[in-house]
Amino acid sequence: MKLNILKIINLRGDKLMALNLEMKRNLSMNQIFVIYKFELFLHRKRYYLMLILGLVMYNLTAIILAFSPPPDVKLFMASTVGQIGSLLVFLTLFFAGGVLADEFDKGTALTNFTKTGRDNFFIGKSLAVFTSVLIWNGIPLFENIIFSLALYQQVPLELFSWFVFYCLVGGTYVAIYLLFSAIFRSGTQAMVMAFFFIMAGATAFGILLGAPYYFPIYAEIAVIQIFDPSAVDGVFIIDLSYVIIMLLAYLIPCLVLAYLRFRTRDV
Amino acid sequence: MTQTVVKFSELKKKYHDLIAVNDLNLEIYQGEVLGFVGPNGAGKTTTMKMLGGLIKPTSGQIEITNGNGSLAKAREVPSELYRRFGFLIDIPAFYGHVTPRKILGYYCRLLGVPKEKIEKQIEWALKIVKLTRWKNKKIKEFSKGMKQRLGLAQAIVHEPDVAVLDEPQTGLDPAARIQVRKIMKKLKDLGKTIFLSSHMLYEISEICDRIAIINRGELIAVDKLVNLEQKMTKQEIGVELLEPINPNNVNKLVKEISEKIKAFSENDDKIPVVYDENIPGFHIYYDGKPSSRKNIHKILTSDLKLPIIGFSRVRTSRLEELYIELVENNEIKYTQNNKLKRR
Ligand SMILES: Nc1ncnc2c1ncn2[C@@H]1O[C@H](COP(=O)(O)OP(=O)(O)OP(=O)(O)O)[C@@H](O)[C@H]1O
Ligand SMILES: [Mg+2]
Repeated sequence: MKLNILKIINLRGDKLMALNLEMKRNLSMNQIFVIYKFELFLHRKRYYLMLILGLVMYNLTAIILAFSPPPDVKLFMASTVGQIGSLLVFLTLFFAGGVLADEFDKGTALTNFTKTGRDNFFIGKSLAVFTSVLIWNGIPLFENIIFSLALYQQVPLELFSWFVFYCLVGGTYVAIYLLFSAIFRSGTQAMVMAFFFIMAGATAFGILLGAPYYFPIYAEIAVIQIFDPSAVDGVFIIDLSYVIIMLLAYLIPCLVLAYLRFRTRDV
Repeated sequence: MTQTVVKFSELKKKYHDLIAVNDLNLEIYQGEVLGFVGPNGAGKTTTMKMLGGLIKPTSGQIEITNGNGSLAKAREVPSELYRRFGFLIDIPAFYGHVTPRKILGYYCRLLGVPKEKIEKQIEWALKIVKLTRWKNKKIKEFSKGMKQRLGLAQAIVHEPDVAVLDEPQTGLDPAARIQVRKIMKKLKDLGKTIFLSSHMLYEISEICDRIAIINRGELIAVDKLVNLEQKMTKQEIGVELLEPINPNNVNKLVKEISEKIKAFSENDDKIPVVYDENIPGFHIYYDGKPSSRKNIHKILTSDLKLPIIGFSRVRTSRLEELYIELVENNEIKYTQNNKLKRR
């Protein structure tokens, strides 16, 4: 299967002409799956840790609330799943921060990249990292279904909106981390720079642009709108659709640029 | 008719203003062992990285075999490259948390080795590099030499047609080095092609069919060892005498011999005879022709009546001498060119 990304993103003519000179794309579902599985296996310990952390974190708040449940199931959710979200930026850093840079830095690229195309590595590794977002958000999703069924005998649809939205937020962080990871020489350097960018750089930029705010971590504030459509951030009414467009405006370019950089980078 | 499996044409790699590989033209033939030697920083690893698609050439072209006897641009047929080639480049690293079995299995799957054959291939590769004992130990606990062995194992685990090995013997103990030499001989017997870079000239001269010498990114010679030797301007004879010469007479005698054999040594500015009291005897440098050797022998025995008990061509360091001479000459040329340019 061959993917001609040049046709899809015909952005800058000459740069893309230059890209055309390199290794032809050599995509294979089979190899992507092998890489995906191996990456998950490689970070097994991290997944265990994440699972435990998620269960403990979520259960603590949920159990406390279960003693005196709020009158409305949505209020219950706003104070449970809303809590867990603020860890997302650290968690994705943990998984995606060095995932590309370390290959070059530690020298594993010398063997790995002579085995199959880098396209397969990029996709396989990215999918593995996105999986961590799915799992992390999946824990509260699953538990919330159980708790809300037990306490309120119903599961509101907002819970699933929350899940999709939060996967988008996590995906955006991942894309930013992947881009930095594709650019910087060392994994640690990439992690520090990307984290600084998300927490300070993009935030300052977003605040300068004014409301509605254009920075990824704003999404963690905006999430309350899902459970409470009239929610207000200071003086502004939060518009979730703006936030979603903003997230996509980070996610897609970052992912594309990360891919382009990763596949042309010298080992 | 020998088939070409790799062809570099006008291959060039620049790092900023440093030209790491300069207009390299080189062909590797099916079934041969091609030795790739040159000083540190000559561009060996860079060339191999370009072949493996790890770095992009600045200009030039790399073609590889597609198995039907014809060549195709390497970047156009990446799957052929991965399947038919095995690479051990520079100092490879591995994920620390996994075991050799796991990582080799991963590579096999990436390389498309059929599922039912994977276990067999892993066992085979591990046995060849003598790592079977450690196959379930985590790689982070490995010694340098063990990692190097694993590096070799991962290069051949899918039984590639062409093995590209960059200094496979670094960090190995003497027994393992001999083992690696055996492995390469075995691969050669199986009809595999080997592109081997090394600083161990003795090993190279033992196993290589042809030798390519590179210096400052430029190929300065490529040929069979015997052919390269003929290009050498000097060869050495070791002459052993029955007993040492009286120290007072040494200078006189050396001068006398030098005068008499001058016709057979090409190098005018260098004294062709050196006395060595450790032998005891002489080192005589001459032009390498068999007739000259005969004449020198005659001069020493009949004319000078020296008590000679040994008279033999020094063979052990042939490639070393050749290497030094070619690289040095190239360096001289290089500096001269640079001086000219600067003026
Ligand atoms: N990433 C890089 N950036 C800049 N220069 C580089 C880079 N990699 C290699 N070089 C330079 O390219 C030249 C060739 O290096 P290369 O590693 O190919 O040498 P080599 O023949 O393999 O040497 P050795 O015997 O020491 O392994 C050297 O001068 C080196 O400094
Ligand atoms: Mg090298």
